[in-house]
Amino acid sequence: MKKVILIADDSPTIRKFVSVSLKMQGFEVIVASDGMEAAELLPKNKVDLIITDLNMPNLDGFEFIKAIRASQDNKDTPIIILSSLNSEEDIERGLKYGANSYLVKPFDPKRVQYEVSKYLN
Amino acid sequence: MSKINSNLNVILEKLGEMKKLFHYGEKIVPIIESITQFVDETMPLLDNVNSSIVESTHKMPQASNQINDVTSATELATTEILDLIDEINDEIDKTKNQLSEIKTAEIESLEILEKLKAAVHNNPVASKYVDELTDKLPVYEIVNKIMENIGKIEDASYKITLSLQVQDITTQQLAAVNHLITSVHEGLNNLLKDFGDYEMDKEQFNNGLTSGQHFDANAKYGEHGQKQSDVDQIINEQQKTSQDEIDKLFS
Repeated sequence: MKKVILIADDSPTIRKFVSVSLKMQGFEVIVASDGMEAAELLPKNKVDLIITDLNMPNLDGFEFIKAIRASQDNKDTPIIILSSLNSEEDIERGLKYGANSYLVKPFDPKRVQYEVSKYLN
Repeated sequence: MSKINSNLNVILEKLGEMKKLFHYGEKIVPIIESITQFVDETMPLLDNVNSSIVESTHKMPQASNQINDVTSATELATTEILDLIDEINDEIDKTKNQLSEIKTAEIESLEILEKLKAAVHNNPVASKYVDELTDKLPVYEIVNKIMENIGKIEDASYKITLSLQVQDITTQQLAAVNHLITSVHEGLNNLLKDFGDYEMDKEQFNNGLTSGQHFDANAKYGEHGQKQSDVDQIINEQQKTSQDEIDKLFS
């Protein structure tokens, strides 16, 4: 059975980039255009890993991560941040809230694949 | 008598002051006239500036919407290209599988021919035909070369994917410009409102940032990997600091 990865990003092109890259690796991908939509998708799907942007409307990445870590079902689900924010403060905040990895845009799809395989293989 | 004298002195004093005032007035009148002339001459200029600001302010929503149109168009084009890359990758996978099947079939054929050769070793004519057939079979090397070429195509499509991320970065940069336009527009609108000449129509910004678009104004498209190396370094330093604190606690 394929492992399921949830991608939360308000950029349709980034959602597509990451989807293409992960589907090539044999994963099933579900996508959300913001943190709120992603949070609504989580209870309806068994998700093995989450990739999230930080700058998103409705519910931003930081709040989304906080919500995941506060939930019972996904508190241990690996989270990878994929954002163009790269200040020390943002990185520290993201990891403090419970993200497992921090990737920066523009990203190398091979690095995304590597980070994903670290948690799912 | 002395009171009358005193009053006369006050009157004389006041008259003196009035004289000074008139004298001063004589000097200031030309200046006031110059100022009035200057204001008269400046008014049309100010009117021009005012109407120019009104005109520019009217054009700002149009500029903002044009930026949004550019973003939408590049987003659509990029998604279309990515869909095609996705299709190419699917076709490459299928072709690789087919080539693998050809290689497996060739290995099996060669094994059968080996057995056949052993079975007909007493028959020189049959053996000769088996040898000729064996010589004609090795497509293995050709398949390997095709695989090598496919690898190059895969590498190129991967690099295209990498470069297409410029769209996301430019989208964020354009969103930052749009935000700036909206802010300037609002500032000018407030200024013009004081003159009672103009009222901003927020509907003109049909996709404007007033609707809460999110972006990183510092997003940059540059050397792939450099930004990630910087982030990795920050994470390593933070983890090292944390480890040092733990070590201190237990030392």
